[in-house]
Amino acid sequence: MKLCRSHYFDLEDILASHETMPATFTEEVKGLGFLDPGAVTDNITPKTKLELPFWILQVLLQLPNKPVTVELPKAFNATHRDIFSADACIVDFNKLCKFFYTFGKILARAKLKESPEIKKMLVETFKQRFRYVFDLSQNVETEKLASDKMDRMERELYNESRTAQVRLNQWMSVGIGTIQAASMIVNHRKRKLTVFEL
Amino acid sequence: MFTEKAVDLLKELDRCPDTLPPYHEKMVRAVLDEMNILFEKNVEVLNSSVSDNLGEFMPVLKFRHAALERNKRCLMAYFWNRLLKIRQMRWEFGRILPPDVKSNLSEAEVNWFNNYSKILANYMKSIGQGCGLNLLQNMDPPKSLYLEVRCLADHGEIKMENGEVICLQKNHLYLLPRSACEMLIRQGILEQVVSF
Repeated sequence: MKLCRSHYFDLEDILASHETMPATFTEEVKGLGFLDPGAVTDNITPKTKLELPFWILQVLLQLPNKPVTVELPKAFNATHRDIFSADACIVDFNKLCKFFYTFGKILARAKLKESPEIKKMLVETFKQRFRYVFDLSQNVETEKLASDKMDRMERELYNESRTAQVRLNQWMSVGIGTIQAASMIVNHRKRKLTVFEL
Repeated sequence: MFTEKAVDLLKELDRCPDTLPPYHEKMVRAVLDEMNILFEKNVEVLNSSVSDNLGEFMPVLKFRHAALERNKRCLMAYFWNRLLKIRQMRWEFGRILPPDVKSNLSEAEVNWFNNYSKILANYMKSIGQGCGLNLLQNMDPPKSLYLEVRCLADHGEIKMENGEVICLQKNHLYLLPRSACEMLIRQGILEQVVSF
């Protein structure tokens, strides 16, 4: 399985920090007018509301005068935190936030005033949903899932655990010993199946 | 908005975890151009403004610099993640890539692949007490010396270790030494027949 810790080249980490957050400017910022598609001048006026990717906000928050205030994205606001504490399993992460855990970790590290709460929530949510993911991976027969509520990390965990289960079942019935075609080859062949059939 | 193009590159990689999408020379160029523009704009501001009103432009300078760094990170991640896949290809496809896969690689990547192949071959030659050791063989512990296999494609002739030449034809069954057919099974040319 892939490392859970994020690093410089991590695709997931980069894509997760590209998730947008609603932000309000409290002060005028010179020259940043290009961030606001509706801006008339080169500058951003106070009280402008924008949806900006997290990495931009991180830059703005590190400025000495802190010209922006950020609101948490939908998946992490107070309402959703309540839903998670009630029953986390019903939430559809695929629709809500595809990189829920990765983005959550980034937010928790970002030293916002809600960060400690987010930290706690992430652990609790994972604990609640783990059984659901585990249960599915051990008992689903078909390869494709009908309803998929998992976020990226859970998906990976599910796939990993499913292949392990399938291999165990195989070993129980046939025993080990067959050599399989490598996964890349299988995928490559699926793509040009017509060529092979002819 | 800045860095959108670089992120698009990564999104495409992310969408196909099992295959390697074609190398987007144009997009990479466009990202590099964007980085140059960002840099030049920053230099322009630094040169034109007097040091006492520099503070006013600090936010935009910092933003452009961050966008520059971000673009750099995206491009590096793009190359690095592609290289990981190309390395995996060496182990799964073997030393020679199918032409349609190879066409997705950039020139530098093809060079890297060849170099990696060479390094791997040299390493395999150097271990095993003077006679070399093929690391691509016996990925799982072997149970028998001979395997019953079915041929899935007209592969043509292969040479066995004892000098014998066998012609592999589609849908024929063969009993071959494990060492000769393991790589071919992994490449999807042969299929192991399981008898219950």
